[in-house]
Amino acid sequence: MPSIEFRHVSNYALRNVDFKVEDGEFMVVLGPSGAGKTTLLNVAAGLVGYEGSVLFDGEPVDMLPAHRRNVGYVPQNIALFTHLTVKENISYGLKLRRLPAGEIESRVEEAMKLLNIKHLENRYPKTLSGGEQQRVALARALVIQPKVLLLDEPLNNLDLNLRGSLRLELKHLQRKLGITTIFVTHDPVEAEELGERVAVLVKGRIVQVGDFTTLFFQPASSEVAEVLGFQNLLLCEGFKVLSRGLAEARCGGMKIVVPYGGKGVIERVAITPDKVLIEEKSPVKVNCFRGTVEEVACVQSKVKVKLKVHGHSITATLPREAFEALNLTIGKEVNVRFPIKHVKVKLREG
Amino acid sequence: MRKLLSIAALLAVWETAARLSPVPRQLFPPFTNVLVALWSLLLSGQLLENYLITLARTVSGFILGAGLGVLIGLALVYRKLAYETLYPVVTLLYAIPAVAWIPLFMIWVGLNEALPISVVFMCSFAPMVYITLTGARKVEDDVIKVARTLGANDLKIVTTILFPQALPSILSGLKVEAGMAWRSCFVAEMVAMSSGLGFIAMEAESILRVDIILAVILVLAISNYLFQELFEKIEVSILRRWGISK
Repeated sequence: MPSIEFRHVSNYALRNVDFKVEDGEFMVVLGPSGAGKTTLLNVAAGLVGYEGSVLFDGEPVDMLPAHRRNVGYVPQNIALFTHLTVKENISYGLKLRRLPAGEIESRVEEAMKLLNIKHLENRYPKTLSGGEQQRVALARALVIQPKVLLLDEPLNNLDLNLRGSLRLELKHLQRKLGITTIFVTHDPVEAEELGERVAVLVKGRIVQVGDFTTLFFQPASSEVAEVLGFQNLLLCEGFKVLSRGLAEARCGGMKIVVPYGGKGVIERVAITPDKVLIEEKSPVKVNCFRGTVEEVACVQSKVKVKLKVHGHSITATLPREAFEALNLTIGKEVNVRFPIKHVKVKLREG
Repeated sequence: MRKLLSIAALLAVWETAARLSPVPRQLFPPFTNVLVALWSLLLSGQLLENYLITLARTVSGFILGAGLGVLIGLALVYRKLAYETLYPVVTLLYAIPAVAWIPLFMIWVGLNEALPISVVFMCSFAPMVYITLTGARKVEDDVIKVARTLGANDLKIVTTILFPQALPSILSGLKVEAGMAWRSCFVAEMVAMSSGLGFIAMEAESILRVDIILAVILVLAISNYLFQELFEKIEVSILRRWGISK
């Protein structure tokens, strides 16, 4: 699979974008709405005009129109062809390439098996669930054996559970096929779970590229920090090793059990707001603290809750149903828990 | 069943009102008298002959007008330059009632077969451009983008994506415009032709045969209804196949 490189790419939404996705890499481009994420994919696919250069495996493809670039593209709204069956959707690109009927048949069969959608082959898109549509769109993009796969927030319209499972499946599939992939999202959780490397795109510029933990603890600017959405960053005064793989960090009166590799001094501890648990009664006592609700705000389908825990300001985001079940009101005392596996640590050599 | 019941009720009211009315039956004949007139027109062969003439004029004008309208509509949606150039012209043509062309065509094409066909053409063309354009513009940009990345060039996008996806709108348009085509042809025949259903109606008017006029109108209404049903059936079957209920 080829690498894909953007060299000084600019247009109406992008400003001098310059980065490279290595051969077989899963690169996540993370950015807020309006940052230019979709435009970046459209540039790679040759769907919009731009200045600068896009290279596939070191070769410029700027002069190639979209239909000759051989990229797999899954847009945010999936965009299945509603007038074609699942099988016809998947074979669309192969028919345009005028491949022999036998080869089309075998490649479509293979793609349907890979995505587990063989039983849907004669159904029309409108009769499929969101997850099924998602798989069909992926099969349609993969069957043409594209040079690169471009995914534009494809899990956005799915419910949370399905989103989680498809995310894992997508990652597994990408590893299996080794296809160079750019996945754009506004969701830091998705970026953390999927990306080998993450590029942060803000106002049309790539402001930082790196692995998620590096971005998380060493954001290049306040813009990056904002995109990553972390608020729960705690400074540590000390720590003790509990066992192989675990340590207890002291952070302003809180003792937090964290994953620990055994090397370096724990400098900071952090947890993303969506991993903070709020409970009436906690089933486990580890990393469980009493906190007081200070502020509640609705953000789309989620609720953002600010809590005071041992003098620290901690933010949690909850699905609306969970929030309603907890009946949280300002001033209410609750248990706040940080599941060990989701706590991140920043180490310093020492 | 409900459709049949409502029509039967209407005919029953008509029959009763005409029989009880003080208006002379020659001016307001009961439905059964109209059926008798229809039967005699059929037996004489006059109805079938003129019906086939009107049918041929309507269908040929409609196929030419609607067909070209769909093609131009697809071209307009796809080519920005063509859209910006031709769309105002189409909008202007759309606003002109088809029958307004009759006097002009009487001078330009003369009193021959081309006249009602031209009128029907004008009646179908501009609306079908407009309807196709509206239907095809509903196709999401992302669908076109995906087709492009899968290897579709301009022509393939029009033929394999825009046209089939606009088809439900096109069929809805054809259903409405088929009725308009029958009406326009009928008027053209009334005004300027010496054959066809419109001509029979005008001839009957000159001898005060309201029953014949109503018989011809009945045939026109049934033909119109059958055309609409045909397009409706095609539209519904396509939408059902695609999993979109109607």
